[in-house]
Amino acid sequence: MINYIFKRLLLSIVVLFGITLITFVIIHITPGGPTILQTQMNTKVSPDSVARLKALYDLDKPLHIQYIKWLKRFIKLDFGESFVDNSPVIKKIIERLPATLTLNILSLFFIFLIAIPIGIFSAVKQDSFYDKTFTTISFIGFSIPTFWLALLLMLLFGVYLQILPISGMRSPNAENFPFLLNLWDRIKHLILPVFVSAFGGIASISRYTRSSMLEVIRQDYIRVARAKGLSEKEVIFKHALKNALLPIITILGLSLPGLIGGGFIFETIFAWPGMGRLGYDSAMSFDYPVIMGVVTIGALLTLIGNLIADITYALVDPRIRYQ
Amino acid sequence: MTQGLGTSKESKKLKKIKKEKIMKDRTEGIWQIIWRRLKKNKFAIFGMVVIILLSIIAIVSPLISPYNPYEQNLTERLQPPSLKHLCGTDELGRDVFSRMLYGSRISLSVGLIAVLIATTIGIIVGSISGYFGGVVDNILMRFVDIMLSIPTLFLILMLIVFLGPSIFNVMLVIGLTAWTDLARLVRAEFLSLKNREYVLAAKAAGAGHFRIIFRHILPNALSPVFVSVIFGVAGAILLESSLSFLGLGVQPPTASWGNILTSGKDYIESAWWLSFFPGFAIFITVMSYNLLGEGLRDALDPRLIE
Amino acid sequence: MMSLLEIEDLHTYFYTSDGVIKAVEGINLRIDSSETVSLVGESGSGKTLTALSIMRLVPHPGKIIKGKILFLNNGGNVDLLSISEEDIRNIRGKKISMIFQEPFTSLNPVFSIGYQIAEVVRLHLKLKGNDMINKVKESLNLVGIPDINRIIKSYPHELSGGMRQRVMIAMALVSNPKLLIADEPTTALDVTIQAQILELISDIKTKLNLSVLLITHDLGIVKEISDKVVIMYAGKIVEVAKKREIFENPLHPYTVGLLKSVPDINKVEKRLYTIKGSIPNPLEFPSGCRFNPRCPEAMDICKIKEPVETKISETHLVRCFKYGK
Repeated sequence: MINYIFKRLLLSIVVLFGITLITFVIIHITPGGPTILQTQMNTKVSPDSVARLKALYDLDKPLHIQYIKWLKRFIKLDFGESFVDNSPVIKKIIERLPATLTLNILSLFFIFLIAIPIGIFSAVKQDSFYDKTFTTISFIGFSIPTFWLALLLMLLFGVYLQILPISGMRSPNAENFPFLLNLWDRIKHLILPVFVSAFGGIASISRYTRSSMLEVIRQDYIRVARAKGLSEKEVIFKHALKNALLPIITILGLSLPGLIGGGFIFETIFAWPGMGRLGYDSAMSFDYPVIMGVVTIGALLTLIGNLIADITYALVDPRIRYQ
Repeated sequence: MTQGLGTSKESKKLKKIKKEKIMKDRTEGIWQIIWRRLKKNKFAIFGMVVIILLSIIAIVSPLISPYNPYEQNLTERLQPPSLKHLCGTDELGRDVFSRMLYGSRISLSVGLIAVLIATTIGIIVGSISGYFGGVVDNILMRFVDIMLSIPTLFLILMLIVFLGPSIFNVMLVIGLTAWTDLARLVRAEFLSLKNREYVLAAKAAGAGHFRIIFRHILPNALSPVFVSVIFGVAGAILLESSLSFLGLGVQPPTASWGNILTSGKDYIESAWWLSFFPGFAIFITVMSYNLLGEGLRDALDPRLIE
Repeated sequence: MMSLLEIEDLHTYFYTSDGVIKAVEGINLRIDSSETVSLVGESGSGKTLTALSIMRLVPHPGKIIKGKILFLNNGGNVDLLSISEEDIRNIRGKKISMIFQEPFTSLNPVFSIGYQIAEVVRLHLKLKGNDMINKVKESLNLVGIPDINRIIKSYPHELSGGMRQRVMIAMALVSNPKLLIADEPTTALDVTIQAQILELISDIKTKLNLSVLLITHDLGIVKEISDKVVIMYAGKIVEVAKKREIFENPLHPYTVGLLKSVPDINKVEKRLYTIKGSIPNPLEFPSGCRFNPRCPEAMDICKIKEPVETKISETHLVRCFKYGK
């Protein structure tokens, strides 16, 4: 197992390097770098951006020196200062991180809570009415554009029924509310964003769980478990489930980029003050240092998440644990 | 089982005809088999019909559009759906239905071209990786891992900002980020096919690498590609509309389903139709592709072939 | 002597989207105490399904349509097909155990060997703690597994095929069942290991007074350890006899064909004998006797009517128009 974890760690480092390389390449992607871009773009880009970009990325110096400088900054997580308000990029990101993490962790929690039981149930009662219904709903779930879903929900609950707020993390004046009301206010603001964020994940994870369970239930050792006289409950929830969940861990790891990246769409829609929104705002205002920072941190988070998923898998699957 | 026939000449002729029929049935092409299986799936056929319909609409939209999609009419801004404006008007008085018709052209063309780019890259990378193996494979797959570590939307965001928002850039950027899954699938096929006998035979006959890749292995490795293309178009359409929605894709006044939805968000409290219709169009389109893709995947699944 | 297990007129069908497969049609089978019965047939003959029907483990879309399976339990006969779900679970793994063909996939990869055997001990023998562990060790000892303390903590992937099959046997026998159903237990193993496993089964059945229903297509194995032989074809039993009778006096043309198909090392043969044709499509069994298209001695009546079981002697039964109606 140590072997396995070590290999994954090594891979992560290689990937990290790759990320630095790609981000570096993108800075220079347009001939002459983004500086040319500004002169072509409209008024959104401030005139001294060109000069500042040059200074920030040392665009005048030869490429390899630029890259080394970039690497050095990368390690210190120093992305420079925002063009918009001059505050350090990393500080801005850290301010926004908790909001994004709250949203993502809650989403993951609900995905687990809802999708896995649905998947198990659909698999055990294959081709039943419930199975067909859930399959249809999941299918709609990953065909529906999330931002449309968000808009529809906002229309329904926010505009017509007026029972849920449609933007922000809390109402204005919330600090003045008594504790419980404050808590309820926070929760109300969380409902729609978490739902939208988790919806796609629930749709796909429930389907993966279902197919994984179906695959496992067909296995010989399940038949053997029944032949031993174990109750169907034990067969499904002990023998089958543990095996079926193994690939789900991997899939969860793979869906992290989607979760983190997707945040950028619905954080914008719901005016959620998270990292994704920061990315969007900075994109709109051509605040390059912040964009680079957001993308890099996003990639780092994904990498860490994947590593955690890999390690968890190694711990849970005895075939890897005892080699 | 033949019953007693007349002359031996007749029976011989009958036997010959029977034999030919059996041979013909047996060589019923694999495509016919796949088509037959696909036909059984009502959902997939529904999806296919919708796709064909939408494609036709996209092509003839200028002919059937009731209004000019760019034409503003400030006296009729934010009108709800009516007989005059089937899907209402937007904040500049433009007819939403016409804009949606033109928008379908954008969606479909972005979908197809982005997928074309992604498929080309994916096939090239996948086949080289799978065929040569070793160091080449390692490097290419590490590269894929790296690309997968960066959340796709962030990557796209970054590329769009650095390249500038436009239709062409959207197609390019989506294409550049969507090839990884296909590359892996193609690579897997190559890994399993490259040791088949016909490949060894070709090698023994002196065929060079590229000839082997393109003429011998690739045609057999293509089945996951078709499924991937269909899902790819669905994904590309979703991405394009997301980007346009956020103002990073197709820019107004050019109409795209995504950017009509931007108005939908801005005017959510007064004009529900701006949110509903374009989104519904995206939903139906994407779902149709997904249905067809799923159907095709099941029809091609070797495990289901008895 | 009362029979231990008696199958009466068992019908098990598969309801597929292409039609109904009458996989087991009208089986009558009897197993006595301490008797080893071999159920022989090609794949698709319905032998595994018969075994699964006894355990009521017929997989979807199969269904047991009718019949009785009488089992001698606690002094009286009970019909396994009509008792409750809870009751049959009390029989599975406890009074009747089954081992399967593929040792590589029959053990759950995420649980240790000890755990999987302990499950049975805890469930059926109601033992806990040290008593449970000791019983597990005892069972592993019975099947000749070395280094028991290490094996108990090991996981299936760490063991060889032969070892895994021994573990399966241990798991099946730990609660001292009366009947062991073994579905091709050695088919997936190397020849040398095959011999070991057969010897193990042979030893244990005498030690524990165990009845065995051995399902196989390998006549060599049949000769080694059976008392009685049952030949199945296309869902029906075509011949039943004591081992000696089958090998010295096979009656049904199918049985004759099977025996002829086994090459004899002492004879010089120019061509290997095969039964012509292949097993019929289960969706469209031939009319009349199901073997008739392949039977070298088929008569006209064989194509029209199905023969019934004819008793040739007290222990020898055949279903063929050559010997009766």
